[in-house]
Amino acid sequence: MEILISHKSSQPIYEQICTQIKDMVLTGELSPGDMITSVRALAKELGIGALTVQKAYDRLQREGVIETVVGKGTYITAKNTAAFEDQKNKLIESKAEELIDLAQKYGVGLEELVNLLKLLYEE
Amino acid sequence: MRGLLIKDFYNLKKTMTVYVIMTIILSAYCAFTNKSSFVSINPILIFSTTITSTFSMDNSVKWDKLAVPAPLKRSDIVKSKYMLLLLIIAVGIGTGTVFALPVIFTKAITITAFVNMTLFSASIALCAGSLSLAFLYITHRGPEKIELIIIFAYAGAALIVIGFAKLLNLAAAPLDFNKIILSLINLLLVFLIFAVSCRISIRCYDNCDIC
Amino acid sequence: MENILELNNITKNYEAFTLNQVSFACPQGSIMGLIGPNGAGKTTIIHSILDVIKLDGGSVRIFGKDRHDLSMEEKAQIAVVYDDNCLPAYLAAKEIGKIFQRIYPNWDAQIFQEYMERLEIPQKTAVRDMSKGNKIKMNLAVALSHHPRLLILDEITSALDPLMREEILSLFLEFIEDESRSILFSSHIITDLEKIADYITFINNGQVVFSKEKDELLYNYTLVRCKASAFHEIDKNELIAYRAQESYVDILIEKESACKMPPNASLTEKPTIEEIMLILAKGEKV
Repeated sequence: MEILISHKSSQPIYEQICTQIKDMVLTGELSPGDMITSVRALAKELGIGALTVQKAYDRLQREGVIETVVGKGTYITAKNTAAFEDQKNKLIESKAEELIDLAQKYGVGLEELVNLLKLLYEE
Repeated sequence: MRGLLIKDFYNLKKTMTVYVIMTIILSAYCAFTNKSSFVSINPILIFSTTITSTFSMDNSVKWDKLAVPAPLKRSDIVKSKYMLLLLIIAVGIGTGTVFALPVIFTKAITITAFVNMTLFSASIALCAGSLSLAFLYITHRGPEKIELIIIFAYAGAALIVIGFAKLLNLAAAPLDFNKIILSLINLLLVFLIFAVSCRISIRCYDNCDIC
Repeated sequence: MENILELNNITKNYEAFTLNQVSFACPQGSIMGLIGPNGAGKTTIIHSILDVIKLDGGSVRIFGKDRHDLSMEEKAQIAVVYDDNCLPAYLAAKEIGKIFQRIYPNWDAQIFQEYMERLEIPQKTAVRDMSKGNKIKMNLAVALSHHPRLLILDEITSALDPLMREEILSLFLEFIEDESRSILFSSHIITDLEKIADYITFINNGQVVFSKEKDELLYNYTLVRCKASAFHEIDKNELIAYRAQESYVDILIEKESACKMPPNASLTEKPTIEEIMLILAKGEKV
């Protein structure tokens, strides 16, 4: 599990970890049942405090993304896939809205927009 | 306590070779120039002066800051120094005996004289060491002028031991005691000083701030 | 989570300085950073935890017990590294290893050897002939080699170059992978603490200014730099502290209050721990 964090970003590190793990589940890099690095091992890997990683994991556990089995490890769960779908859809919707706003601002029509999307998607 | 003794032993090994060589030369000199009675005294007195240098070596790195939090009692830290004093004097006695053997064989001194001198110098060394250590622990900031302490301690010890000897002689006059027994009693009295010094040092060290 | 270390109202009076009713706790399994200006009392606090000085008031609890009730086995689980060498200066690694083997029952000679190699400490050199950095690393190797549960460090990283500091921080994170262990780390180099500390305690003038989770400090507070002329517009109740310079004022506020700052006359950003410390130490508190 490769996670990149930025100390300089204004987004708290534990949030960065949460977002990236969720992303990995969305893209399929991590599947339900996969075991992920333990809190302290991840803290060592990333060179950050264990409490920060623990916060991220606690949050992910609350959101039903991961589950910790005492003595065994931490796993991705299939629970709450609705929340994922939600996140995925929200992200795409918001980008789409942005695109539409921009198109309307510069007077690009719907058909033109759809053709552009088709072209770009195929690349 | 063993770890502390080993530390002092290693420290002395690294810094005291000069002293040892000096002692050997001095004793050889005495043996060959018929000051034979001093042959056994030298090692005892010279070696015993090194006890204060172990103290200053500890102080220069503030070793106590590591020793006090370690699984050691403060009283053990103090006792190890007193134990070290006894061991150093014992080594001095052993060395002195070895040097004295040839001298005894050539009949330059009698065994009685040799034993007496040994006991006498052991008493002075033990007394001086006890005084030095007590002084170092009472003032506990660490000695600025070790040489002064050594001079005063040995002068003081000499006075005390000679004083005891004179008193004992006076007391024993009507009873015609063996000289050696008197020297032994002298040594025992010095042991009392040793014990009292140790108690005082422990009390000071138990209650003080290390830094 | 139990606290591995608790200070309750500790007080120590010196002629020129007083440590006054200091209280904070370090939870087990965490790294706590101790920051503060020189002379603030950090070293005095560390000395009182180690029983190197006698307190005038208050108590220290370690491993859940009063400090003075610790058994020898428990004392052996506390390790300390100071900012200066405390090992016998004339001796080298081998002799030092033998000494500590007879002091600590849980001394691990093999780990000592491994740390010496990992930290690149010269093995045949007497301590007094080593560079300052190597001396500190040697003291650290000794401290780690008796498997302590509580590791206390008094400003050890100031003598080390950034490359070695990184190696050592990584070593600490490795140390703390075992949840039963904790580190109390006093340092001037606050960026080190920003990376690896879980909690930060700030001491100034012998008192605790705050003792909080590091993430809370970094993400719940905002630093606002406001033009001096616009400062009077701000409702003082919204501020935690401020530090006035000639043409601008640095203000520390809670994140939620950021919207109440004059937008055209101020800059907002996430504060570093050092900036928080400077404002609280040198500025005015509200």
